[in-house]
Amino acid sequence: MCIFDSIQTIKYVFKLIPILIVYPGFVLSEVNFSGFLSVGAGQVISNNSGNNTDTFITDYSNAGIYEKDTTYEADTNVGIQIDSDLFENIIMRTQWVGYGSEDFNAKIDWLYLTYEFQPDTFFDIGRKRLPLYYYSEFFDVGYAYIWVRPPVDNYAWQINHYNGVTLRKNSNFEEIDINFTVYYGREDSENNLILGELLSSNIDETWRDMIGAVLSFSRNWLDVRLNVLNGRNDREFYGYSLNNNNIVESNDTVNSFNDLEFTNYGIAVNLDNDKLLLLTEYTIRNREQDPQIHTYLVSLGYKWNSFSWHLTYSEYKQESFNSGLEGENHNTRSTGIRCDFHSQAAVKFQYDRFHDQGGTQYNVGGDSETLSIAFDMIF
Amino acid sequence: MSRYTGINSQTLAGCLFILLTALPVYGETYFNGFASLVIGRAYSANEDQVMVDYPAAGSYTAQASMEAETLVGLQMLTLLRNNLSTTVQILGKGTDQFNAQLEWAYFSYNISPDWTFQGGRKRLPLYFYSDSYDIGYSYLWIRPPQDNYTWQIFNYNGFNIVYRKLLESDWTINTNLYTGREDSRNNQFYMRTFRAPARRIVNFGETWKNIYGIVVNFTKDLLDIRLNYMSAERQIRNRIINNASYLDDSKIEFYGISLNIDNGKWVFLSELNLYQEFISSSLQSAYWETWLSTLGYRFEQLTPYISHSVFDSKQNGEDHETLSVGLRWDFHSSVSLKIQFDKIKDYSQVPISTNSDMYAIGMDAVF
Repeated sequence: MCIFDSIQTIKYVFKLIPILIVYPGFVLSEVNFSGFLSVGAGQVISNNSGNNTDTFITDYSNAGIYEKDTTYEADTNVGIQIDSDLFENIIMRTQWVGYGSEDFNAKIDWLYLTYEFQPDTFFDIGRKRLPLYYYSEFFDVGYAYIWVRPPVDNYAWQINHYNGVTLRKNSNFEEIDINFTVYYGREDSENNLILGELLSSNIDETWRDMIGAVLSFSRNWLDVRLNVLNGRNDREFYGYSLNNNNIVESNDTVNSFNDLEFTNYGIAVNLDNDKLLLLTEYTIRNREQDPQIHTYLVSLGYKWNSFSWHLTYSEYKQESFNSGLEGENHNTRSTGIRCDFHSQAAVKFQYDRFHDQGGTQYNVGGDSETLSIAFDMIF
Repeated sequence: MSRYTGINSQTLAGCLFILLTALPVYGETYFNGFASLVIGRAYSANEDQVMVDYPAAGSYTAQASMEAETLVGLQMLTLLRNNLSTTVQILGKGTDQFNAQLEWAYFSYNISPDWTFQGGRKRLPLYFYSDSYDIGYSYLWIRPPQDNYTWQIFNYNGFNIVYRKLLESDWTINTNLYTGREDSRNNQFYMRTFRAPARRIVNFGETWKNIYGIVVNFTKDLLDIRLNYMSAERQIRNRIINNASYLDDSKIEFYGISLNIDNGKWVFLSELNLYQEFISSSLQSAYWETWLSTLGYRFEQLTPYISHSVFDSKQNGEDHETLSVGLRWDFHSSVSLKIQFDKIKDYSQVPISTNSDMYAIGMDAVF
């Protein structure tokens, strides 16, 4: 089930926008525009040897990578959101994003219709963020969190969207807000960026027959979120050669695979009393033929007027293979300051110390220390 | 300053405000846009292509085409409180099958009336018409002369500081100091030159890092003078095709000067750019210069012009020139019609373009 071919959709939406603008009556009454912008800069300051490439992956979803020369693209992105009231009870939400690490091609992040068929009960159809984690849905909106980026070891996945259907229910019980979401969908990621970067090849990654659920509770300063996702994974590798100055593609069948079942479980518990902040998240991932993967983050924060400070630890640990081969295993210790210098903008500084201790085949750049700065805003 | 002497980023912002008064207002967000519809054809031997848009690798062949230079762009300006604003521009070009591209995405923070701090993705201000390159309506020709506007790196991500001041002598000074980097991973120029499969990432890219540059613009009455300097480290990266040529890290420097005069009747436009590159590992160096000069005269709505542009590497590789005559007709306050004939000569050792005659007819609009 592939509901949207995202490239085609981009073209259609793009062609449609000027028409919408030409009819100001339509735009004024029913369409709302908003957006976000993050401009980051950073560089690896450590000087290592051995397996170390002096790089630091800051964004696994979009292959944002820092290196020894200052880079301005790894944490830079922009998004524009368009909400349209189509009919009573039906809203269409479109969000375009562009990432520095992807040549700023405008991509459709969200494109779905929401139908509120009962009070507080919604049916969504279209393209959405895959709600694997607490910060999945606003992963790109730097303004929404205390760090320069969500802790990388915990947010190290290659698929971040699904195209499909969603059922959502909001309710309230004794001052506890309860949200329940169940969804079904699929994502085909052609030229998956982070897999291509780590495995030095061109890779089409598919997660299909995904069925998942999210349950969250919040009351005053406490926020708890549980989630589960089950699906199937296909992966195709492609190689390239140069023939008479033309680039020629070839299918690599050795590394490709089909139909591996995977299941993810996650829990997040966050405490925020406007002074002290404790953010935690833990995820387990199982995939057929692979050792289990555990990821987690713990972040302690303190707010003082327009300043916030955080101390964060995150880890990605894959258990060893049956052959005894070590899997992917890395952790990051970070500290940083956020300054809210404007009601819609913040500037952040962060130091990250990354430790890469996985098997040699699962090296993700080696140890590194990185300094970064980011200007995050919403508009 | 009259309209044909170009629009740099600051005057662009100024023009926006003027345009916007006629547009709907959504709170503090303003939209405007631009479009060019251009049809053209080259009369080259062997159906060779003639490059007219280097950043997007747009070219004409011996068949009439509307793809090479047709484009549409939309810009969203949001004014936030306390001197902060954001600008996002989305662009679709015919050569790229109108895929939406975020060409600009930056914030501006006015520190004082004279100083502005900006950050994000912007056009690399190498040339006089870099900032307004895609807005056909803002200049006299069908396109900024292609011998002069040859770079496949055209944007950058980074930070810059703008200083502008009206001096007592009536000169306006506008200075832009910038630093940044561009990683063009799937560079369109290389992708098309090597005919890469369209849907594939081949990672045939080019990086300019540690970019430092300055632009100083002086304007007074009918005069507009622009000086600029940039230095960077350049790298051509190709992850997948191992046997294709790599370029080692090299140090590049760019110097530019342009002088434009517009008295309301006569228009004179000129630009001269020097480029040098040094590859330390092989001790090789390259040098070239590009220049353009244009003369036009306004008869009410009609402006005929003649133009000459040159890319000269001192017979060291790439050498080509173009002689153009054209006519711009401003039949509407925000739409113009242009027709242009070009005679192109390519003396390069490995021709980038080809010897050819070429025509193009275009309509440019801002909205």
